[in-house]
Amino acid sequence: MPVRLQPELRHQLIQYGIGDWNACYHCGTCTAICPLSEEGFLFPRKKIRMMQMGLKDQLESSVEPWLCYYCGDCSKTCPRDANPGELMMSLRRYLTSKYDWTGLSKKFYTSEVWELAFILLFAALVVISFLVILPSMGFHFTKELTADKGVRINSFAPIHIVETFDWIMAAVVASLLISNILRMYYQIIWRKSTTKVSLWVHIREFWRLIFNFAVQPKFSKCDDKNYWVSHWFLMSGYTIMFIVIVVYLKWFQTENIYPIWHPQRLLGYYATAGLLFGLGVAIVGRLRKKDIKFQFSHVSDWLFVIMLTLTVLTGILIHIFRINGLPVATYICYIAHMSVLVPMILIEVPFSKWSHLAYRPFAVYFAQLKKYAVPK
Amino acid sequence: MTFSSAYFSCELIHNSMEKMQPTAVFFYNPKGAVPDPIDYNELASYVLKFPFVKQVWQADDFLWNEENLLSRIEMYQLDRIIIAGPVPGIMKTLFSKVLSLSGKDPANVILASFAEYGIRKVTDIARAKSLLATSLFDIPYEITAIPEEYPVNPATLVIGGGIAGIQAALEIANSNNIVYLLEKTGTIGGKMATFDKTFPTLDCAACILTPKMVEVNQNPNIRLMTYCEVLDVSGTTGKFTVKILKRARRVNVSTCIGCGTCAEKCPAQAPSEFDAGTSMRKAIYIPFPQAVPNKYLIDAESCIYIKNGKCRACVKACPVPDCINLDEKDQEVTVEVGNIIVATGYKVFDAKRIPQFGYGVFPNVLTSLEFERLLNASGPTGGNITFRSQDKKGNWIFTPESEKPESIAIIHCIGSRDKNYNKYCSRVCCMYSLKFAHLILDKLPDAQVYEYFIDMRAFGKGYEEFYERIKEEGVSIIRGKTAKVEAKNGKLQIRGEDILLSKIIENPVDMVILSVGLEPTEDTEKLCKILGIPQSEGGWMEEANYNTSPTGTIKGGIMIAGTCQGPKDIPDTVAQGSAAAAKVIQSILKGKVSGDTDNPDPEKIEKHILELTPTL
Amino acid sequence: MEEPRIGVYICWCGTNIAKMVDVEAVASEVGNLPNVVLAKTYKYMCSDPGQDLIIKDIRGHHLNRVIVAACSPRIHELTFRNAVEKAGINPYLFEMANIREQDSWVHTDRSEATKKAIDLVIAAIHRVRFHEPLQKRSVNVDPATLVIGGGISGMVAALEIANAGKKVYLVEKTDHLGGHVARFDLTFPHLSSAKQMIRPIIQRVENHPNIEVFKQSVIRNVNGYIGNFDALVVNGHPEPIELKFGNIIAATGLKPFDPSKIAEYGYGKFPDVITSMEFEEMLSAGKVLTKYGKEPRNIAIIHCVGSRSKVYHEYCSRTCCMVALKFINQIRAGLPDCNIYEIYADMRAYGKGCEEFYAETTHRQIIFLMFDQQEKLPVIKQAERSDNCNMLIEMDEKLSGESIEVPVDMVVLMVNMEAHEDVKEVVHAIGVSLCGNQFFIEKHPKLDPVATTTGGVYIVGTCQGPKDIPDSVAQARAAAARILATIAQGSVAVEVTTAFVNEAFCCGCQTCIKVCPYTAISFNEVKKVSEVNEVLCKGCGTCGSACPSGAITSKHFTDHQILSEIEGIMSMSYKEI
Repeated sequence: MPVRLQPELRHQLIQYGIGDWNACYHCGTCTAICPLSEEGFLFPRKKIRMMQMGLKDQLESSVEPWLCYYCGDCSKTCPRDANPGELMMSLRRYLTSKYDWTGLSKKFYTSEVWELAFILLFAALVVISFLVILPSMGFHFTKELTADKGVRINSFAPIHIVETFDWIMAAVVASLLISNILRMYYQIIWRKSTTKVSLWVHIREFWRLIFNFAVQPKFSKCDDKNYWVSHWFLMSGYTIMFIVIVVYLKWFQTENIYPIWHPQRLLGYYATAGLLFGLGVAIVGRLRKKDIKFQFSHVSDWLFVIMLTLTVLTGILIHIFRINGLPVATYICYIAHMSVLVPMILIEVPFSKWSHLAYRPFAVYFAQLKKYAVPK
Repeated sequence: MTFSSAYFSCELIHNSMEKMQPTAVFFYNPKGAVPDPIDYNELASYVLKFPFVKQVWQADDFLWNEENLLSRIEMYQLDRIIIAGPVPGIMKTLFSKVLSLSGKDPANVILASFAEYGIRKVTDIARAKSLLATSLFDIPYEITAIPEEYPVNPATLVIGGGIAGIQAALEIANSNNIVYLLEKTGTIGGKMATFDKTFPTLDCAACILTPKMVEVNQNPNIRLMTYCEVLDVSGTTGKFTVKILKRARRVNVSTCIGCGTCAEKCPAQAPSEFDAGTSMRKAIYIPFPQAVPNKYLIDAESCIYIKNGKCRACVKACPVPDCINLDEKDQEVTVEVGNIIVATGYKVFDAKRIPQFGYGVFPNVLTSLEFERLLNASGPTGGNITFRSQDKKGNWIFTPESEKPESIAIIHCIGSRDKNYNKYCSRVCCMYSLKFAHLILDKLPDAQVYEYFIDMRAFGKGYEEFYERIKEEGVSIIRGKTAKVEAKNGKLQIRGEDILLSKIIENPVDMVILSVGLEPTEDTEKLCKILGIPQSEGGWMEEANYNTSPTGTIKGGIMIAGTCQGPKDIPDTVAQGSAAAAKVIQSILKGKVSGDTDNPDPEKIEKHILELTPTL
Repeated sequence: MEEPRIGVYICWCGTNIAKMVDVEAVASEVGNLPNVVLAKTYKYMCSDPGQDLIIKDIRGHHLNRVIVAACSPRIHELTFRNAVEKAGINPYLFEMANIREQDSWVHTDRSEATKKAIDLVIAAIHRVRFHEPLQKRSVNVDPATLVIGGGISGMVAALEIANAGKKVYLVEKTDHLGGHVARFDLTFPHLSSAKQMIRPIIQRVENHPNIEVFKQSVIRNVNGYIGNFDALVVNGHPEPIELKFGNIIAATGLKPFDPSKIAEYGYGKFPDVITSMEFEEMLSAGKVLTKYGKEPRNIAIIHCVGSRSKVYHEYCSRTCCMVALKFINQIRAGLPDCNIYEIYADMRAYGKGCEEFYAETTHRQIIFLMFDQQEKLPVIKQAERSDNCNMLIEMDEKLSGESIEVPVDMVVLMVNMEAHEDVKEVVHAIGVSLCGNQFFIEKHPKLDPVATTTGGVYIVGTCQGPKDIPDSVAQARAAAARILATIAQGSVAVEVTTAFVNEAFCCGCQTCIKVCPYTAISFNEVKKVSEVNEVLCKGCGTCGSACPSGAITSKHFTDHQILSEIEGIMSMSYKEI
């Protein structure tokens, strides 16, 4: 049964980024120069062709966009104005919005207004909960704010309340991500596929998921290793922070200040450093626009970087003010911190750029499954 | 003038002012990538002085869609629309459509194409006005903007002794007129002389070219000036005075018997230009055995005596007294000519500029020109395809002794069709690459030959048939340009994508041939400045009119021919060589040559239009 | 015939010959053969001192035959013929032995090479003994020129010659000048107006004092030879006009291929499947509409219709790709929201500025689809009502590997350009030959693209093969250059070594007339013998070899000369046995 062309698909696609796929005249340079493109998983040219012809189903069931880490070699060597690297980036945005069943992802990617509005909404909720809800539950600032008692973070932000909130938030985000990943799995492995993958293969290959989540071995194949390194520091710093905040908050957010070599502080410092390093590279890169991979910044790219930076900075301030015993400053920063962190987690992770923390490793896993797929 | 009016008698009536239909002039100058310095407001006010021009629009005035245009055509009862701008044709169909929708004659869309008439500088405003004036009265620009004619000196200068120059020179000489054939190197013959076979007929280049070279040498009307360069051109159309630098050859052309004893004794070596650096020649040398003139010359760069005053081995060896004069100095000579034909040819793209393909890194990655020499029976290997090897002095050269490759890959479009290097297509690479494939199998029947291409451009007479023939000869012709060449266990591994099978290619071969594109020669820009002719995109010399005058220029009495105007294969080059000669012979027979067309005077043209439209 | 006194000169050609051939040995070997007066060697015979040496000896030793053993005669025969002529010997009493290309360059054993050189020289000695003096001849050239075809090539050629003040007769089959170009709307790659381009050319031609235009006319029985042709112009009038002219330019052009031959495309069956020429007219009229008068929402352009195919024409039509890209730009301007599908095999944007035009055009939201023009052609089908389009194209798309179906409302077929049916008449009239694709054959595919094997007859533009406008124009001017040169000369030299018929032996079988490629032989009904027109004859010798009664010999290649040459080449070997 021949496939019907859908030229109208382009009107959807163009909303997710720049790059003119029609400029491609199929010399195959991009696929050949790409260090990650391999037999059975050819990109970018093959994907560009699908965009040109508007082959919707093939696009949505393709795993390749996630296997691309945007080293930019393709765009550098492209003889036309096609800019394959950015096209793959746009394709990832498109797919993210397709996996997301709530439809919010599409909204956030295609309209800045929506994204900003939601961020502000969540921020506002956080602020309100601190200024109105907590006091109403008997945590009276007037008492807490007196300097003589020093900084009493846990009575200002009651540990059990914050912790429960963290767990709820984590649960929400996780459930969203998992449901989307299931949709992704359906698209890539099941839908309209003539092959099947045995359960045993699923189990046998599972370690790849963990491994890729932890070290992104594919990313390290790019010629410029610095990006992989900086990304890894960022990623590890973020993960540590996420774990200690969600799982071990009691151990992390304490009243008394430990000596500097205490694991709590060392861990915190490492994570902060890692995050700052990673963010630094990204921000400098996107501002200088010298490297091809940073030349075209979508709104979502900037928003993510900015919010994460703000989170880290406010975090650092909290720490500084705490150890210097400045309650008021600490509390204000704490509120600020939360009012950036919460929307960031709730919007970026399930719906926007940050979702790749889940999609990429899973894509590698699914790609591996496809390799062992057998005809039905 | 009058002579052109005569042609126009038929046109007069419908052009009279009363009958002139209400017209709108649309300046289509979109804010594009290339900045457009033309002052459109000045042009707008210029056209408005004609009463029948009812409207003047500019690109950003309103949205260019059917509704807007229809309403405006209704509102101002317009019958004609003139689109003026760099490429007005892009809008033509829309306007024809709109006119036909509003029941007007769709043929009443007239284009004033600035690109077509080389209007792109601020200083071209006069030409722009003239073009607009003629378009407004629907009188072809060519008819009204007829340049003045000047008496012509029957002598002609042909710059460049390649096949185009040779052809032009012979045509003119055969009409019994003097031709100065100026050549930069020591011999005529140009690039064609270095080729082995020519596609698609596979007849040997030397066999068909050398007789022509000899003919040049024997034609009494041709004054051959090798090892010379143009310094300056002065004078007026029809009688140019050309100042020529006669570089010191240091060998007396009239007494040298070309015995070669000097070269045998000469201790200094340099890479041979003729062999594209695949072999070494002496400091005193003949470019190649059939060189015309078949006389030696000394290359000052490599000559030991010229560097440090000692040696003179050649002088001692030379059997002819005072034939070699190592202290000869460059001279300046001037010639008086009426016409100039430029046929300076091309240079090949420098493959080093694309590091991925490893030219200059891996000795057995070759450019097409090097491979031509390798194939050539008179080349360094006597026509054997062998690996590059180092001689005692450490120069990388080719010798017949070294090993033969078993697999050869040919990669197309090196430096062509690529925004990072040259945007244009070099026109000949596809065909010479197919020719290579054939000749390789001819010499190494068991060899594996791969062609990696994007689009196979076999357009000429007999080319497609040749392509089919090569396919049947068992060459693997693969769609997909490939991206890089790496060294992998003693072989050259090519990485690419097979587009049609969508597979990754990782193909280890012994030798890689890069089908490098064509580029304007280094001195093209200088020469264009001297002659006052513009350069088109890509740096090629610009013709007077793309379609109707591919060999003319905006300067009267100056013609261009062959690859200096753009990449071309041999038949098209030869045709252009003769075409350029046609204009010269014509002007000589007439005794007059027409002047420059680059700067017509709008007043004069309006006057001329009035002549053509008496009722005005 | 006086006793031959032969001078033999062996050239060293620097080291080219001397390295592989012991020239002195050759000289001494042949020096004392009968009729050889002297045998000398010299570094470079072609150099002025070398030639002077020959001239001096001719005068000093009263030589009447000269042999130079050196490079290929193609390179220096003329040089030495001129030299001996200077010394007062008929140039055809000179013979050249090629001991470079045929000996020193191709052998590696010096003694063998030397033996071969001796053989070659002895052969020459044997041959030259029987050489006869031949006289150079030339004919006057009538300054008028006949141009057949009023397309752009024909008109440009005519103007070029007429502007030089020479008479031109332009004969056009149809009732208007301009040919195909006059039917085009825009030209590629600069999208300038074809009509605005062709109009001034037509007007100049029609009003030119030196050009006489015959419309709706054809040329009949052309007679004569270079410089002196005559022919009849037939244009319906009772008595045809007779013309005299010195040169002929054929610019008869091509015609579009009839796509109804290709079943897959259903041309003629589907009214909205049209040819590129029909689409050009739609564009000029500003009306791109389907048969229902609706604006098409989807247009497909199919390349290589009848071109690059084993079934129809194998050759590439050279211009269609660019015309198709031009169409895209025009459709985009007229129908901004229309989906455009470009179905191509290879995009041949080779001309100056054309690749840039292609790159520019890709930004106009086109869907380029690649098909294999040889394997499996796309199939056009009627669409169902549910498809909400007019037709469906089913094809295997090469770049994606998918088999797809394309919804379309209008299909433009980029038809191949093929030869006119009546091309044979023209061929017969002016005596040029055709290649397999029915195009006129040029004299040399590389170095003489506009001349033909018949002197004074030139072919320009698309009748020689498909071409775009600039290339046709260049060819037109190239032919004009040749003709103007001969006119300027006033006369042209004609072949000396022609064939002649010994009427006593001629049996009148007329075999020679059939084999002659230059139509130079005619049959004399009175004498019942063949006669050679010495101006048309190129001395190829075909007739001589075909003649059953040995009545035809070609001058300078008589049986006697050839046989003695062979005898000479064998003689040395005899000695060894």
